[in-house]
Amino acid sequence: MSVSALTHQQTVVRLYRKCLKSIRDYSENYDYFLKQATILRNTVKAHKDETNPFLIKQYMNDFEKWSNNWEHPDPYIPCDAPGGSKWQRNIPPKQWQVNPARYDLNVE
Amino acid sequence: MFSRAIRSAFTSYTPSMMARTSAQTTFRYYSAGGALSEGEVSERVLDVVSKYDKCVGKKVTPASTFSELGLDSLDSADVLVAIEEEFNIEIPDDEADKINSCKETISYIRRTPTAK
Repeated sequence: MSVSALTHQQTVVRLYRKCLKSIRDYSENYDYFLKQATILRNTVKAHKDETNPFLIKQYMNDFEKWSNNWEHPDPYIPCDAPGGSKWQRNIPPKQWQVNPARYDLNVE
Repeated sequence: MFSRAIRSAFTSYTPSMMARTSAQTTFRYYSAGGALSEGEVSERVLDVVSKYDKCVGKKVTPASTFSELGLDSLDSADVLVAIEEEFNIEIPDDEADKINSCKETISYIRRTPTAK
């Protein structure tokens, strides 16, 4: 399996997704989420046309630091997704639990 | 003698229990439910995409790509987060990078067995 370096666009989009999900985890209603997500979006968009490599590096560092700082300690994870409550927990039950009529309970 | 008495007490008790359990003909299958159908998936995906701010008033079809709808990469990230919430799944970042159209979104969700 080859691991290729991410392009700049991919890095930005991944950080953006991460921040968006952190905001979602911290928001208690949808209006608050939309407000904060708009602020995040405008901040990212404001630096879209930056060409100075030093400033780009500085902005990316800030973005990453911000995303790590606001990472939710107990994020919402769908139950089937990795880390969710049902992830790899589908242990097959004993047959006698599933289908007791097929098993003779009178066996000593 | 006592043990026989105890055993007979148990055996006299078990037939009623057996009769009860063998009368159970219906079983609960927790895994039943099945995958979502193509029509339902595309309907829900198009519903989410067409309600996004920048797509309001535009004609969204399964064939339309995000760039045709005027969405840039950040917008498509927004749309994918909304779709994750709609189907209660988590799209990994490397898969999310490859999704650029409604059609690819639909086929990804069709490939995901845990989508609800």
